[in-house]
Amino acid sequence: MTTTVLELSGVSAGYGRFRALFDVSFCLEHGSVTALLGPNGAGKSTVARVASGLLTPSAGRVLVNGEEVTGWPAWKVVSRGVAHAPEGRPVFATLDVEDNLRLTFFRQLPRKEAAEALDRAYERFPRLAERRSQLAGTLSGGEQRMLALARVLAVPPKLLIVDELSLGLAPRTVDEVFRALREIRDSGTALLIVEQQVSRALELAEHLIVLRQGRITYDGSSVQVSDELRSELLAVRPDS
Amino acid sequence: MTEFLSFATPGLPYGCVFALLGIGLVLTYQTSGVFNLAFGAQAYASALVFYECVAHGWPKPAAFVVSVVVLAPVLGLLMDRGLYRFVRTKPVLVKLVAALGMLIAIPAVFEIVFPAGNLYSPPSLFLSPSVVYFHIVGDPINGIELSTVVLTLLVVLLLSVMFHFTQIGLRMRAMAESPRMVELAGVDADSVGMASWMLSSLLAGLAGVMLAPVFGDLQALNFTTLLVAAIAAAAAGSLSSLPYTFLGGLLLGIVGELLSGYLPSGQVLSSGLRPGLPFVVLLLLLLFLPGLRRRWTKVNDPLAGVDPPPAPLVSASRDRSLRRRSRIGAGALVALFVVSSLTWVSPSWVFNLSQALALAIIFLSLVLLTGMSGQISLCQATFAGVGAFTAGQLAAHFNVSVLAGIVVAAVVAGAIGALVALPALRLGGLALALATLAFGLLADNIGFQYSWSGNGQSGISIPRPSLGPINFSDGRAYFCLIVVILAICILVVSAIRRGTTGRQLAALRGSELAAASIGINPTRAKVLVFSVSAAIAGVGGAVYGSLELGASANDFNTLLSLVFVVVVATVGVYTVDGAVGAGLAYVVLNVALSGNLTLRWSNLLEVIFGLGAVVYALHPEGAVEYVKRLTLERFTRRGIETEVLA
Repeated sequence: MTTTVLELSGVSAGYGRFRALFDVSFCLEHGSVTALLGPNGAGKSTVARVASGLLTPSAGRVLVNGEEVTGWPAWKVVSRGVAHAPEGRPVFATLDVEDNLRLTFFRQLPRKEAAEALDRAYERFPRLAERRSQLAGTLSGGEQRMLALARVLAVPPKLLIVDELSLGLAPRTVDEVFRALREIRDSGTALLIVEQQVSRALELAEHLIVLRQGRITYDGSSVQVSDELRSELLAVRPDS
Repeated sequence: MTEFLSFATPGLPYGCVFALLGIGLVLTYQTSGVFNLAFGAQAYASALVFYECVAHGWPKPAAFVVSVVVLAPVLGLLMDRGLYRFVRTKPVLVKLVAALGMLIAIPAVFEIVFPAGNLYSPPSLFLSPSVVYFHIVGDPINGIELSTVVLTLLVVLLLSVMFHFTQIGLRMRAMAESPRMVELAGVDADSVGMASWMLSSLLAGLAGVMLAPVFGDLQALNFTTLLVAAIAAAAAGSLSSLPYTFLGGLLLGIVGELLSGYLPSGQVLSSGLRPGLPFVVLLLLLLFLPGLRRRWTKVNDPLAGVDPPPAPLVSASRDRSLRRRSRIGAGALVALFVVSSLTWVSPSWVFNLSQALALAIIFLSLVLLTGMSGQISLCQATFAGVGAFTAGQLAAHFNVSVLAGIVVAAVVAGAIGALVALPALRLGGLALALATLAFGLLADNIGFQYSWSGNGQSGISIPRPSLGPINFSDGRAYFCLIVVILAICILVVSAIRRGTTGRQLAALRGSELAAASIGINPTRAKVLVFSVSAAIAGVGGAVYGSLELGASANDFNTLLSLVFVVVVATVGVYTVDGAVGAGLAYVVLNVALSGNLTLRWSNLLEVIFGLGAVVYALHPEGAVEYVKRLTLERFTRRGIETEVLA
């Protein structure tokens, strides 16, 4: 059993003629929390998409638990224990809350356990229980993110990638999101957090990766970050 | 009351058929996001194979298994693997053109395999049409009617259960919103897409086999026109509700029969209204059903950004030496073309080339509309017809010169275009396409049937124009005139592209919201461009009609509109050269194929262009741009750096 849950080595990727990542390599340990930071357009979301198989890299390799998954379709990568809550609206807007949850649970679990998982998810997020027959698109931004996390909480994956999960949320809702993330980490899931709120992400993460113009400029402990880097990270995000 | 019921009852089986097709449409739209205009064509394919099998003495169950249980899903599988899989995350326009290509190609392919003219009295599936089972208020209910109603009810029930209470149903519903999100939920989106296409094809096949005996004869056109009834039914269900779609289809069938019962017979309006009813209903639904408006504006795929942006057009790359070279080359080519047409080319080929250029004018209207503003119209042939009939009628009744008639034709077609576009545009791309389809079919059935417009099948005559001493009845002279008119239209299109409206349209294509926020009125720009496009199509139609010395309703039917869209999309919808190339390709292929092939293979042209739509789905830039790109890349490899405009 390897100690790395995700490894990218020499990954280049892009969209059409546009290249977003240049020779990106890093490892994530099992159960670790990593913050992926960098200015807008640095390629953070592209890293997330490559890791979950949404985007096939043009060069380099992607390994999940030591198994090469480069070029696999996303659903197969998901079956190896990688969950990805994409940026923006990570739920199906045209399905109701319950269907959103069922879609995931009934895929991963036998029928009976899936029903139990559904109950557990509603227990953990009572708001979702109240709105179980409401279309997910009509939920508030915070409730949508909670729904995305509720899917993950019931069946903890090996690695959860969250992309800008706190974007556009009220401070109190952000607290709630991070509390849920902490719970997910405590259940043994490794986290890769792409965040705008630098200080929030650094509170939770022990490992920090900084991207700049598609290249990694820092990869190491988040505790020993030099004051220089910290202020630089904070400076590129005046809003945090 | 008894009279009412006796008029209404025969509408039930029609209504059921409409409903069944509508449900098939809703199913594919919900699961794949593709509005499958080829649904009727798939139904036709199964019905044809069923007919052929039974005609060759097969027992009906065996024929049913081959045509519906085997053939239909296989067809769906092939379409999904070969085409729809690639367009799943593409824009509405690409999906529509892909479906249109199939609509044109499938019947043509099957008619090549089973060459037969009109096939009369197709066999019924299981209950005999001659046995009357019981009476409803004096109306005999025969086997076909009974089996249609029962089967439809069964299918609606089964599908509703599957859609809402099973895992595969849930996955199919999720697919409609975002295939990539489905993948992230750990579900293989490709398999779900494949399953839903096979299911909907099965439905199409079933509908086709059931439907054939209801109509009495087996023609691809029947099934295409029927599609609009199905669309109307689907619209009644807001494209999402199976029960409402069922009700809508049922009502449509019944009202149609009531109309034919109560309206006086023997007039154009009443004979055209019954087949035209679905189109009227569809237009009204599009305009007045507010719930529909919400459904049309599809929820955006949150993962749409994963797809690479379309590559910039070659014409957007600039390199001075290259541009100079290509301008000189193009000028020389045009000069060579015109000079040789005037000297050594045979008169029959001058006529063919004239046809090509007249068509190029009509195609240019699509370049303006689709290439520049991203809208799609399925009734350009109708606008062309409006132009031709206007010029013809003016010449016949008011002795107006055809040249002046062409100008009036442009105005009339433009005005009608604005009238069609104004209400439909609020609903977005798909709705506009469907509204134009309905309008086109309405014109086929009613508008062009009157003696004061197209005079139905017999048509009207349109003389050649004359200008002072010059009479254009000579083929070469008229060819020159067409070149001039085409050049004027090209100038108009280029002026619009370079001018304010063109830039507004470019902005609207990028983001309608952002464009509106800087003070661009989207409706105004779009209606304007739609109207100008209709006007150009009108000019093209008038020129074409005058070339042929006459035109009938058949020359400008809606099926032709669909072919036009596919042809232009295949050759190149973004540039003027695409339109001219499409005109030439269409005519040259047509002449080459129809001259050298037996009747059986005359459908090959449709197959080629239908499959061209597949190419379009994969390379939306079109053939002309593709060749240009290859040339450009060869140049760039030689070290000529090109600068690409963002």
